[in-house]
Amino acid sequence: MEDLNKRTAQRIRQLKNTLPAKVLERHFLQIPSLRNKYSERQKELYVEDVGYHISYLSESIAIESHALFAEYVGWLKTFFSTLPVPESDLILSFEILRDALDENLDAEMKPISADYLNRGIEHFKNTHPLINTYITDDNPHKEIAEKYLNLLIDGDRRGAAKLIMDAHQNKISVRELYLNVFSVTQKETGRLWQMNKISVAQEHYITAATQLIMSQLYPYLFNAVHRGRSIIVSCAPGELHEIGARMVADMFEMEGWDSYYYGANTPKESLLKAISEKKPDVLALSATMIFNISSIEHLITEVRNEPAFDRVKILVGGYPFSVSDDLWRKIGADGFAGNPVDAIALAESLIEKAEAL
Amino acid sequence: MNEFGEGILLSCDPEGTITKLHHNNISPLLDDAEGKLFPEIFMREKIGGALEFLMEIRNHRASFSRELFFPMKICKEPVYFNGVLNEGEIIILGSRYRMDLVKLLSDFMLMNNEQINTIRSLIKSEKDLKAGRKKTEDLYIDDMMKLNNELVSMHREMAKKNKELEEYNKLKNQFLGIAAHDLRNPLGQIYNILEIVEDDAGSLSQEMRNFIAMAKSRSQYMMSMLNELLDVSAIESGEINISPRPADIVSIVNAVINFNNHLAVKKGISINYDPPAEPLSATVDSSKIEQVITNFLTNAIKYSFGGSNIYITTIRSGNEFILSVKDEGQGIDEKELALLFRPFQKTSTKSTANEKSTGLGLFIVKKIIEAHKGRVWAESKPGAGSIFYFSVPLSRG
Repeated sequence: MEDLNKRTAQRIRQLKNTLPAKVLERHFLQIPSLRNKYSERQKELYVEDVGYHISYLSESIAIESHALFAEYVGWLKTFFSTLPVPESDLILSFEILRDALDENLDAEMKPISADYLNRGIEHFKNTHPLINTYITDDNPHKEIAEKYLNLLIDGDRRGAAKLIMDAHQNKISVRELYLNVFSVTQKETGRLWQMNKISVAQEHYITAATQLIMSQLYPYLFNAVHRGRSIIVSCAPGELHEIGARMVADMFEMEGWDSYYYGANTPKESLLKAISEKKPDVLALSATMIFNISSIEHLITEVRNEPAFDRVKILVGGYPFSVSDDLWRKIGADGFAGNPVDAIALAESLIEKAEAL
Repeated sequence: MNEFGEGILLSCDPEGTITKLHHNNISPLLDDAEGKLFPEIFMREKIGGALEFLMEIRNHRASFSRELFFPMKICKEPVYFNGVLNEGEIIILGSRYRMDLVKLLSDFMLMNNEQINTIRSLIKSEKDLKAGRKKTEDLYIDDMMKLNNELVSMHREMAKKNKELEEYNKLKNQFLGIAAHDLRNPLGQIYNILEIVEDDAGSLSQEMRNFIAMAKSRSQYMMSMLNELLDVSAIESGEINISPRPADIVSIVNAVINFNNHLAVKKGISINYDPPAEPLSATVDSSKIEQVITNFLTNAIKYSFGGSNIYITTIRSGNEFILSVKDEGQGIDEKELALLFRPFQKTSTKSTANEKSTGLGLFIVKKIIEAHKGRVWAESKPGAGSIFYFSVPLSRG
């Protein structure tokens, strides 16, 4: 079954370049008036979007996760809820994609692909756009978080930095700032982008500025007394979204772990070398984009194949793992955590269990 | 003619005068457009849009999909205009239907009009350019993100390394302190034994007595070096504790002179101190300030020639007092002055009676004075002697 899923996914991936334009053409044949209504740019975007549907579909099939595809579909629903595109257009494009795949896949693959798409379409019809803010009333630093995000949306990096440094001066700990300000405003930024309230460039700016502001707190971060445990944190190669993984590394450091952070641009060989040199208790890997799961899987396989790394516990984190319950198990990790606090607790318990043996 | 063919094609000079009407099937009322200014053919209230359209073509070589309105009697619907600037000529194409320019062009192509070929290639290259620009911008943003990620990672590593270095430095100082402390006791015993032997050296040959004196002097030097290393390790670990109390500076200076005068006398050097008429009191750690003045004075003796003078002054200046020790020695090269107060820095100036120096004394002086919130500095010229100064606030505030 697993093998068939993998082959189906592989076949679908191969169609990514040719199928989207055909889906658009069929869409126009079914609703001829759209042909004139769509601008060239809209047509380009349509083709690009179908390409994304195919990527998410194939990855979800590869890891046998309906939940992951449903999550993507739900995400789309929110994304398009603010755009002047009727839901019926989106549903039709999924249906056309389903039929087009049906014509291009081997007989044994057809039901798998159709099943994922049918369930996806059903989910699209029944789900609601995500409108709730991540900066909730129970956040003890709600006011700072809101002010911080607004400053960054206005492009006032210095003002935002001052706000954080002042808060730290006023005895708000680095840990609290991480959990109640940086983490929630990053999530909120993603939501605002999805709701079409801010642009990609703004999203990148907010992330980049937050990383720099976090780095101003580093002198206070490395003060904890080390407890003799160490962790290497890294991202899937090519991953642009590094901030979550960096926060995890920093939070471990604050808990007295010796933490080493290797960004997404670290070549695999360097990372493996670092593991053999630093001999960490835990390796934590993060992926935000679903297409990066396979590269994490490969990395885990390589670490597992090296007898010298036997002792290393592997944790994974990031969006796809929080959506798909047992994805971490499927790719060979020792566990998954949805946030830094859980990650620390999990790492401690995994090590304690191993030590007890 | 199909729906896409309904349109107008014309050329203008750069000023906007219509030079040629190539095609028009929007309305016969436009047939006499040649010679008119392009904006003139539009609804008077909407003339601004036509002007902007022309300006954009002139400034950016092209403008696309601009909605313009003819007078109602010509056409009730908006017309969508695209224009390009080519070799000094503006070519404008208007279509009743938004954007499907390529289809309109292919319709015109049937007429095999050479302007159409030009406009087609220009529009195509402009479009490619725009698409390319968009892609490049995306790449830039991605690259900037990657760069920023790397920058922050480096920052993190640096902060971590900094912390590690601080830890290592602390360890080094602890090690230094322990080593110096543990060496000092046996060395003290050796020195005491040598003194006993020296007292009872009548039966020994002159050569042996010389050896004992030499061993005593070496032990003394080692003792002072260990004391200074201990001072340095304490200072470096941030453990320089000063206990400031009101003290009479003149008394301290006199005590230091009395204690070290024998060294000066031995070399035929005279120490001159003219205390101020008014009492000079300051809140300082007396023993530490004594250490500083001793260092200044013994250095002056070390580097002065026999028969020369050393002058000490203490003056009050505003809220601080300044002490200076001036000698008539060899002086210090200007380049070496800046290195004086760093640890283990020795200048090329040689002591005049082969006295030893650890290179730590002035570093310790600097740290003690800084702990008193004061300053330390020196003035010197080779051959003209040196003056060493420190200033310390009169009261702690």
